[in-house]
Amino acid sequence: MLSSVSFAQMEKLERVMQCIKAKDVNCAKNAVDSAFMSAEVRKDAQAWYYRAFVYYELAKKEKFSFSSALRDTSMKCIFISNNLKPEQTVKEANLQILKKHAETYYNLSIKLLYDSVNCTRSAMAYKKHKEIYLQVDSTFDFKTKDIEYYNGVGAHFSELFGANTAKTEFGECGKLALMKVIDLDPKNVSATFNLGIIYYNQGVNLINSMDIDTPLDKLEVIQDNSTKLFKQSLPFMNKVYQLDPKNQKALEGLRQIYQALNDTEKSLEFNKKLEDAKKGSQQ
Amino acid sequence: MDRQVANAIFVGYCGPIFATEIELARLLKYLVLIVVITSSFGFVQNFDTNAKIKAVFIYNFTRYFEWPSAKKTGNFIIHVVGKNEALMKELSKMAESKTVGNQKMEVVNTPEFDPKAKPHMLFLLPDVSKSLTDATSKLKGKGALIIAENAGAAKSGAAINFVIIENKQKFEYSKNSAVKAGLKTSEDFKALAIAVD
Repeated sequence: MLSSVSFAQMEKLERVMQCIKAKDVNCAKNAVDSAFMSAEVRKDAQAWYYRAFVYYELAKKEKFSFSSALRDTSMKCIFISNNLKPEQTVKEANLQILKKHAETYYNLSIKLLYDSVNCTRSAMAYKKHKEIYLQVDSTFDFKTKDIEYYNGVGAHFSELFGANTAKTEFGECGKLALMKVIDLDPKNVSATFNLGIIYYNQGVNLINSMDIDTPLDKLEVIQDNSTKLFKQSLPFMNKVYQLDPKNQKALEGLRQIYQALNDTEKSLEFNKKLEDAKKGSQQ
Repeated sequence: MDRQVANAIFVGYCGPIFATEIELARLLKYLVLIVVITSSFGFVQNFDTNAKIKAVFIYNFTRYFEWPSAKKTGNFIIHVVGKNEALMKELSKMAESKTVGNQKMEVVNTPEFDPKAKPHMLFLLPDVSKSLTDATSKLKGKGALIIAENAGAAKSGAAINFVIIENKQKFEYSKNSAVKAGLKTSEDFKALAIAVD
């Protein structure tokens, strides 16, 4: 406890607070590191909170790095502070810093999708966000947030894969994320639709990337595989259509999937439904 | 006393620093991004898979037949009769980069069958399938591989007829029609096709 800290050490900790009030983080770091040379201070929960806060402020400079020694130090300080059975106010302040660290990882998970187009690292950041947030609120139900995150990831990679089907890893990233959404929310229209698109685009990619002089036996194998993918896309798009028969994207999707399956009759049927839906929406 | 001072400062700096407007704005921006990407629509647009598959078939056909020596000079003409823009696009792309032996490929498209034309391949699309009888009689023995896409066409004079079986593009093959057209072919080719005779 701070009251057990000697006057000299108390002065050092007050110096930390003065630096913080002056918004001089480097000064605060020097002061807190100096204070922590004392074994007395290291037994004080509130002092650990100060250190956690100072390192949190310093870690803001590394907010876009997945690995941050400053952030790790801040979180370690919170852990130690909490283990020293702090007063309620310190406890709550510790939770607030922890909450900010959790938010940093969530922001990072989104940023990694856009800047690095890296779904694996994004998923790691999201997992870390959840782990930390559960320390803030162990009863928090992540279902809604999981759906939102994985749906976002799935739609993003579905779109990227649609724009460049040679990037097969984008398709796989999208598929994995959307499968998670459907596990959590089987009637999720957006995830179901995007999964249908990814399977369709994977089939198209097989044909699109084929050389014109592909031998006939190899062409047969490519057709077998692409047909399988088109058939896999069909139930997802059909489900969207069943959930929302006027959904123009689903109608367009079914038109294209049936065309790819060489089912002209069905493709024309959905083309007609699409035209009708367009007319209906104009009226 | 010391404790009170410490706590007062503690509470004082916690509030404003923890929830700045800038951070909230950034979070909101990410939420908006998530909503936008969730409503995306990522189909591969304007790609006709069947057209590409047919083009690969047609290129392969040039390798399995031998045309009469009289037709081994000049351009190798593929004459498509009827309307299929996607197929024409694929064939034109093929003609830009491929040859048949030393012959440059030339792809021609007309809405109707021209009896005066002397192509190496004549592809009658479904909308002009009625021209098959005319084409067969006019091109008999003239070294033209007639390709059709109409039920029963391989038994009515076309050497090749595109058919759909189990959602996949296949082709029927009439060796008799190919021979009548003045073409030589191999037994290997028959094994790859649905032979009708």
